[in-house]
Amino acid sequence: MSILKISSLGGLFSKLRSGIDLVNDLVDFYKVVMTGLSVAVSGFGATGILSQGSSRGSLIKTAEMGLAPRFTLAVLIACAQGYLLAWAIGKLSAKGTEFAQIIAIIAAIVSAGLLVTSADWLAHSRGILPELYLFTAIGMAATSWIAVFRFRNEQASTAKAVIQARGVAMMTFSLACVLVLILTELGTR
Amino acid sequence: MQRSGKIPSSIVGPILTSAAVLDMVLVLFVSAMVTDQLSSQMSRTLPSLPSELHGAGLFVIFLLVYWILTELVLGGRTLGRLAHGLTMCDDKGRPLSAGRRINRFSRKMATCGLAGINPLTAPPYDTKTGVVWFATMVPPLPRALPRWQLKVKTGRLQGKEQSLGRFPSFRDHGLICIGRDKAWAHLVLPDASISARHAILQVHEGKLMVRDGDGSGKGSSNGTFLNGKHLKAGQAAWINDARTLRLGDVAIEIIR
Repeated sequence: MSILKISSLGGLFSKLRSGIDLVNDLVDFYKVVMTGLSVAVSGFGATGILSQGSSRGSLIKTAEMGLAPRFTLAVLIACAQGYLLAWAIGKLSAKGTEFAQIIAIIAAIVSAGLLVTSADWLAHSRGILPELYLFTAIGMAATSWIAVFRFRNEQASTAKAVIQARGVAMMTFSLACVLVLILTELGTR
Repeated sequence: MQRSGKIPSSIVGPILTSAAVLDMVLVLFVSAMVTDQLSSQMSRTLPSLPSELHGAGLFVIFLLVYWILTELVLGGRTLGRLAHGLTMCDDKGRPLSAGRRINRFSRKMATCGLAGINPLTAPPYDTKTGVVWFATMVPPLPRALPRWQLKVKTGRLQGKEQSLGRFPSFRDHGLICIGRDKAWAHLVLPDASISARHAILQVHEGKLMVRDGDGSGKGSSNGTFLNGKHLKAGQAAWINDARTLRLGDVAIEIIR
């Protein structure tokens, strides 16, 4: 009886550890992406206009950045998110469990929130060029394209249920983007 | 030139919805860009329309223009569909003829596009006009499927023989999942040494391959062996000239 308890506890502990490892991996990946982006933008900072270096990394001042670097940054962030989202959805959809599908949907919603938030952070003008909509549309397109590109490379391991789970996650991502966009617009009025 | 595999109509809904939502955000951007400029003109032309609705009115007008442009002129290519790797074809996989595009568009307009909102199924105007969607995330169906047979040599199903073409999943998607899990496997092997999701036989690039595990990278418990060679967990290998496949303790002969 005690052996059974120990083994079930051991199994639980190992599942918990693998879960923590997964979260650590995600955090590490996001850190790498954001650090890379900060370093890239620091490159623009050589002019002393676009960014301001500090001992703890770069403080990106989007208010002083032109449209082109902000647009580039928005696309880069969207591509990084697309890669991360596709990696998460790909792994989770292949598991085939309901729990994994729910996590994939949550990942899509979080990714949508991050995308529109970063678009809102980078957008300034709400006048003649509505940058929030522009960055969101281009970001959604870049995220979807990168995600689908990654799915295409995993074609060899796709069954109908996997494709369906991926489609549902992508749809959730798009709908969540629109929802967050509406909330962001309402929040600024 | 996107086309890879045909999406089954039962699961095309979510992908099309996702693409449509992206298109709508694009149209929203375009309409928001000109709302300020056209708002004063709209006040003069339509004085009864409240100014708060000018943006919504312009969005609807631009959406109609966008649909006409993309569905009739650009042959169904939109930003959303390009980003999702979608291609619109007829049931034989050819580009849609102009007549069929117009037929589909008129059916779509009959419901103002609302019939396509249901994400659980293919839009009725697609099924009625014989429109089929291809996506790059779906593996393409091989042109010539191998006419091989599988013969179980050991285990509870010993002596059972079946050609690959008898499996509907193989005919439709070039895929046979093997395991104990009846909900997942197409070839169910009720043997203790077989994992619930043990291996996948799949045609890829015109050739047959076997993959250990369920395709997620997780391998089977008792392993997959091709001609006696042990595949690593989750590993795939071309079958080529191999004659025996062993899943756990169950040996399967590949008869050509």
